[in-house]
Amino acid sequence: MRWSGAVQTTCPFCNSILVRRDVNFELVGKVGDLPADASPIQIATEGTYAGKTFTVVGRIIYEYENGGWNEWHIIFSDGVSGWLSDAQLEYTVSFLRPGDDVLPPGMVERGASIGWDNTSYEVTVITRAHYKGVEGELPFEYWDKKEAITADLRTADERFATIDYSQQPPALYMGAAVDAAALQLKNLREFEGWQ
Amino acid sequence: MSATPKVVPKLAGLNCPNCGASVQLRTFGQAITVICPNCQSVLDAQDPNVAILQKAQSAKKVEPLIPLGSRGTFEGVKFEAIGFQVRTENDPDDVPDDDPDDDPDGDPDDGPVSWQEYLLYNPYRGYRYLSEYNGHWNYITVLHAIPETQSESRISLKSVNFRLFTRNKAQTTYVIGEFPWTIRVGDRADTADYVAPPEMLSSETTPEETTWSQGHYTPGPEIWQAFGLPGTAPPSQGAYANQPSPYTGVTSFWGTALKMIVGAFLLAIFFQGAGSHDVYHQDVTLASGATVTPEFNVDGHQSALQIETQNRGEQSFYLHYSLVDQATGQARSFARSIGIDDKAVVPSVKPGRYALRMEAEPPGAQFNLKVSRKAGSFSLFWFVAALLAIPPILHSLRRLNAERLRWLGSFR
Repeated sequence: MRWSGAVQTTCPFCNSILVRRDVNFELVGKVGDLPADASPIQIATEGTYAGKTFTVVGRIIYEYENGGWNEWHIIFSDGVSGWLSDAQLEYTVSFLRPGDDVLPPGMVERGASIGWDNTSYEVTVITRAHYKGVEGELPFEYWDKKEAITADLRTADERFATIDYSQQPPALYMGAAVDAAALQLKNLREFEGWQ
Repeated sequence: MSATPKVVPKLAGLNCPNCGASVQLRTFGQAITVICPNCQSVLDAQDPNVAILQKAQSAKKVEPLIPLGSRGTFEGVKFEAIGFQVRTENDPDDVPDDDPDDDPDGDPDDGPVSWQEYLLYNPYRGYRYLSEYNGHWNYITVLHAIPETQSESRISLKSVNFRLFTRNKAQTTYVIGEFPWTIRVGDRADTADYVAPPEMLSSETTPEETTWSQGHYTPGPEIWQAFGLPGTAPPSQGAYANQPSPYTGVTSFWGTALKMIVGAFLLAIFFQGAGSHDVYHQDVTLASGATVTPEFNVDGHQSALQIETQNRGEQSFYLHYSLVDQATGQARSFARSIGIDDKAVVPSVKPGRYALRMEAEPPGAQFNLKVSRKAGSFSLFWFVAALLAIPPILHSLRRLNAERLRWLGSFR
């Protein structure tokens, strides 16, 4: 265990999914082998966002009709939990925004705009995905999820938000799109033939 | 094992279920679609049984100018060319185009416009694109932001305004290599291009998504250098949407001309007081009354004539001059008080033959007379200034014409 706040963890040796019940972890199932995956990020990758360093502790792998993406669970040096999304090497960093009063009722539609913090967010894509695997430590139970509908929103100044409709009430994550270079990632995987 | 392996091995590739040829993979399992290089069938790269998404393309083979597998350096990062597609403008209002009067660039032979797109990949930095049309290249990055709409034909990104250049329907007409998304021949998207040379913002809209990207106009030779390609880049033809005008520095052109004109002005002033050449000189003794010099020749452009006197006597005196144009008989008269020495300047003297009449008061003055031509004249200055203004005027006209050509290509 790297992070004391973990609700779910996956054993890297036997693929067992363990979920925290009070002080003990309970075996709730097993994950299959992870799909072949070309994210340069791995558990224990370190990086920097908004001047703070973070460590990757877990991930959820999503798959949809037109590809797939990774939501890497990251823990910052001050203990804050966030998400580093790697969608075909396009990165965003986001944080759960608490409060259920911030979301419009019902599903948003593509092209709709929502105002948060005096900024206009536009819904750019709605994705119907299913989860394909989990790894490492997560801040919630995710072992029994099947399908996820998410709406991605972007702004004129590279801010980013995603609404996760796979839970009730839906959850809002807010953050920003970031360049790979700006994240200053360390302890990345190696790629045969690349440096 | 669910733990992520530390080293990502290159996938061996797969065999085309249509023709059996081996198909190489370059993106470590990111490919969703891969095209058989032999029979050009479009294959599902994620399917263990390799489903054929589209049988052999009917289109003739197109050799990309940048061979797939080539690596090029952009902004210090290496990217590998992994995918290539030909896209064709597919505007239902435009095809078939039988009416040559309808054609914005007046070329009745125009078929539908096609351009080529390369997909570039770096396993750490992600994907970039290159587009090529008639030797015009763009280096393209997907935008993280959505540009702000200012008006129907104007958008802005980070306070830079972009002007709508064209709206189109693009259709994929040929594809090879591998792609991290599903791609097929016949895929369509609505596109819009907005320009602020050398940058261009483009949107592509499919039923699922609108994506924005930013293209940076890059001359062919820079692409050739980035990839270390043999030979030379095909020369570009015509003007392109976000090609920087070759006549951009209009203000600097005018600035340079202005500086040179100021310089000429200062030189003119300088030479007004210095550099000169003798026209006539004589030692004069005016024992009584007046004297007239012999005729002397004044050459060059219309400019000032300087008349210097040096008093050889003890007493100061008054000297009445008349400069007489021998051709017309016109005289320009003036008087000077001569102490030790004196310089009188007669402005704007045309070239020709002149004589100088002098009368001293009191009589008996003895002095040396020197008549000289001023080298830098203001009339010459105006002439020089007009010459200096020609390049920026021509440059401005060419720029206007280049802009006209650029927007001729904009089918709105």
